[in-house]
Amino acid sequence: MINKISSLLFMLFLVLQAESQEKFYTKTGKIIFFSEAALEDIKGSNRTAAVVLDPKTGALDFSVLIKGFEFEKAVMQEHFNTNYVESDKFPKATFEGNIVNNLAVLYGRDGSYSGIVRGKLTLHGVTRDVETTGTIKITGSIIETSARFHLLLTEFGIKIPSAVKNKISNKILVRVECRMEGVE
Amino acid sequence: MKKVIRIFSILALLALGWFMVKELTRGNKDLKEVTADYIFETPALIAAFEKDSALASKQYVDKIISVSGNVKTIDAHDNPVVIILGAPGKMSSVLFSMDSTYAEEYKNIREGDQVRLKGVCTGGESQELFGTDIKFNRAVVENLK
Repeated sequence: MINKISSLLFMLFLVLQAESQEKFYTKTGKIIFFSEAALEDIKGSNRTAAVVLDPKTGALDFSVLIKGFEFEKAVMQEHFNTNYVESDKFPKATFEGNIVNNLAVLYGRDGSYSGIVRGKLTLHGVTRDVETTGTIKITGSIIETSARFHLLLTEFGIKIPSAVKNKISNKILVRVECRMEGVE
Repeated sequence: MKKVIRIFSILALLALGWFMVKELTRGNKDLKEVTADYIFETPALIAAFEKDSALASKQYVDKIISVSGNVKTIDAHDNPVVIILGAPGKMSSVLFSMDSTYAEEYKNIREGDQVRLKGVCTGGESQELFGTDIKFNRAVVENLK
């Protein structure tokens, strides 16, 4: 009986401890985008996205420096920054949104949850509504999130040069993976 | 004469083709082989971006910078590994996304070590929760103190 009460108290302590974390964050979120194209597949990745999650409200924000995207080939990186996203003019991409079904995520209990994320993505100076479904995995005081969604370059005012218009896809797959820790 | 023109045309086409192939397959610079444009201590670089972010961005983004300081955190949960320099207890930091080609050189670095890292500056940003962060790509270890 005493053991059961101790276990319950311990579980309660864990729940309260996780819920007492005001916000969860990471400075090393990973964002990958992938474009399948006739000319060549294009993959860029960034490992220093700043991400904040407020478990109380479900508010989820991230920001990423565009120049932080790395490519295998230097020429891809140069074209990406100069001809497509114009990173000198628009150095940052941001997302401000919410986990819509936040009440279904039990932050104080280990487990994996499906989260619907909705918000505004700003890229290349253009803001668009975005919605996707992702996974929220809770292990102790660590929250891991992953999501993938598609973007259309033209919706963000990103022009594909006419010379390669038929060889580069307008549709981009974006993957976001974060491992966040609590901050009080 | 026509024969000479034809030979020159073929040579010019071959040279153009060679140049294009070389350009399209060009990899990123190996920073081990490149001298840093600037040398900083971690607090001084953070202070430069805190003082005037626009000016610091203009001066340092896309430049190769060597930064020394205390290893605050290492995130090796994914690739590439990120080594974060900064003072313990302070949110502001300098983040280095490491060049995995040289993983052997940084695999033994631990939190609290004093290191000098060199990378391409991709910018800085300030946020209420995070303080000021300056970020680098393709970083390599210069030398361990």
